[in-house]
Amino acid sequence: MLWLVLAAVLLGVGAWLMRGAEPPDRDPVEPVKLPTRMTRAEREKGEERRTWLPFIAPDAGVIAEPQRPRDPVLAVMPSEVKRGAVVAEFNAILNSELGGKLTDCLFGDGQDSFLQELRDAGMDPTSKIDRVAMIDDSVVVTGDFKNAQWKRFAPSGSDPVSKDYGRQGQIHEITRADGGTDVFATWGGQMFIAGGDEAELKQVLDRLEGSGPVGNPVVDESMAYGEVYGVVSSQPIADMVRKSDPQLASMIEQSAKSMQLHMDVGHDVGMVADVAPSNAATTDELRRSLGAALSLARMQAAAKGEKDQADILDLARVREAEAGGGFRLEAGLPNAFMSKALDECIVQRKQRAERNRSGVALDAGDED
Amino acid sequence: MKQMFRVAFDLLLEAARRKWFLALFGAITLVLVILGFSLQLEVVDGAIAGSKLFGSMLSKEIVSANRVMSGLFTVVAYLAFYGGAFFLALACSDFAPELLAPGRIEHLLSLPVARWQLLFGTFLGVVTLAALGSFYGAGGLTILLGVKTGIWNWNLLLGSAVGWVGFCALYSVMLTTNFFVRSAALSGALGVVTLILGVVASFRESISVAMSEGIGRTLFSWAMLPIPRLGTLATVAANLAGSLPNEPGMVGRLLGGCIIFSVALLSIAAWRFERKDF
Repeated sequence: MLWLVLAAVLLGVGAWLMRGAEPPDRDPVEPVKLPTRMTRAEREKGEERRTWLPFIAPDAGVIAEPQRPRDPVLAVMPSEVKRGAVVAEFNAILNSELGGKLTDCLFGDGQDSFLQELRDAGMDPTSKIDRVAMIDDSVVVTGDFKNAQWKRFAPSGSDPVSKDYGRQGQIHEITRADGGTDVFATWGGQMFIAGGDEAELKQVLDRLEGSGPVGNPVVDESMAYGEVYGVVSSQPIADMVRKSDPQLASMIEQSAKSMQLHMDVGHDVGMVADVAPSNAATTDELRRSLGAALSLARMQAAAKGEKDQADILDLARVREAEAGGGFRLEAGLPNAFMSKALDECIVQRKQRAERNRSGVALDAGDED
Repeated sequence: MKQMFRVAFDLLLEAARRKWFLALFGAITLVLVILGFSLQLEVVDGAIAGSKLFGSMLSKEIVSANRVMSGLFTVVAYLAFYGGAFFLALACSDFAPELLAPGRIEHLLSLPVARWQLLFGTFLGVVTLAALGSFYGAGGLTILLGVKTGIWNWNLLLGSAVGWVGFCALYSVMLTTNFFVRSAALSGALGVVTLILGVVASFRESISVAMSEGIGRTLFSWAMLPIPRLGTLATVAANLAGSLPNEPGMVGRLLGGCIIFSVALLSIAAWRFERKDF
């Protein structure tokens, strides 16, 4: 009978011990969206952006080739770049889920004097800019600049000179205080082009209006997807890693020709980079080295207890390309991580602004 | 106590003569040997840059060896928990009927061994056998992957230890059954039923919420209370093997509950054994 009593007591104790022990709930991990192909919305947007660029009147007796509508930003793309050509959908990024925080991080909470000056000049970056493209040393900004008052930013005493170029282009020249000159161009009240000298600006305007030499643009319509897209040559990437890993930098220079980049910042930040090979064997070696480096970094982060960093590195992948001998590098930054990083950026910006304000007040006090 | 271990040792000797257990250890060895020869892993700085099984490319992705092993160990732990429990429930079902077989039981009872020692010794022998099988498989796979990748992840052994505790609960039901009805088939069937009930009990609260209120729901909730949460235990084993987080308090309660359940069932068997005439 003692055995039975023991059994009953034990069953009771066991039941009490196990109550509520159901499988632990685990939040499903949402995969970071990666821009691997053009979406229908992006295709439609691309079609909407095609514009009938001004028709250049042919010389007498020359039959003009019919032109098709083109996206102005893609129309300025050269057929070759030294460093890279990258387009950022500035407006889409600022209006994304992370856009509010990104705006505060970049421009502050509206108290920033430079932002205010830009707004007063009709060039509010938060509402007037559509896209920003970096083409080697040039910057191309598109948006609504019809009422932009460029001259407000000219140094006092200088007399900005503007001259027409092509059908809708204008080249502006501003004399600096040191006697030198700055040049930039505008086009049709919707494009601002800076960087390079006057000849380079003219080349950009020629490509835009179709009056220059025609070649295959380095970034074409088929590549225009994601919020950031473009092509980066291997040199700047190699330069970026040279300090920390000179061996990897030289391997990048030898193995990779260029990298086609696409980033999605709709919710999380997802990045896809397709590396074009210059030498199949060394490119494969580069693929393995990068994969191993990512894996090692993840293990080191996990060993140090840096969970966030390990989780982010966990999202990074190196995949062999289906064809062509190159490879694809994928990386993702979850929304929560980005949100936290932007919060830190906003706090730092506020602290900087506070310091600047108190510094100015202190200087004013000294003068008194 | 010494007598109890002698009974357990005798049972292990008997198991060694059986084809089922030779087949179990043979199958585990065969899988490990085949994997050893056919799985080719190209490891660069702790990352698997290329993997081939029987000469076919498994993945083009470069992933850390640790991550691959964690994923693989999670799957192996689940398979071993359910597959191992099912196989052992059938393979071990006739130990107790043979112990209680006419002729043999009289002989055993004539020896200076207490009945409870005979019972607990049999239980100990069978669960030791299960432990040897699971540790051999888990240890073998761990060593194989350790040699191939250079990374030594021993978590599968922890997972298999948790799985073994789950099997102890199953076998306590199987052994006790035989003191009421001496049948290998019924014993094996009840082992499998306990496994299924263990999974149902793991989702007791979720299932009872889905049931309409009334006596049925109350009965279900109470009936499932003492059943070991084998489904949750499988998840815990897989999490441990795959280096995924577990709530330590919950793991302790589950393991404790399983062991207490096993002892409770053995106490019922001891009560029945003491009263039974042979």
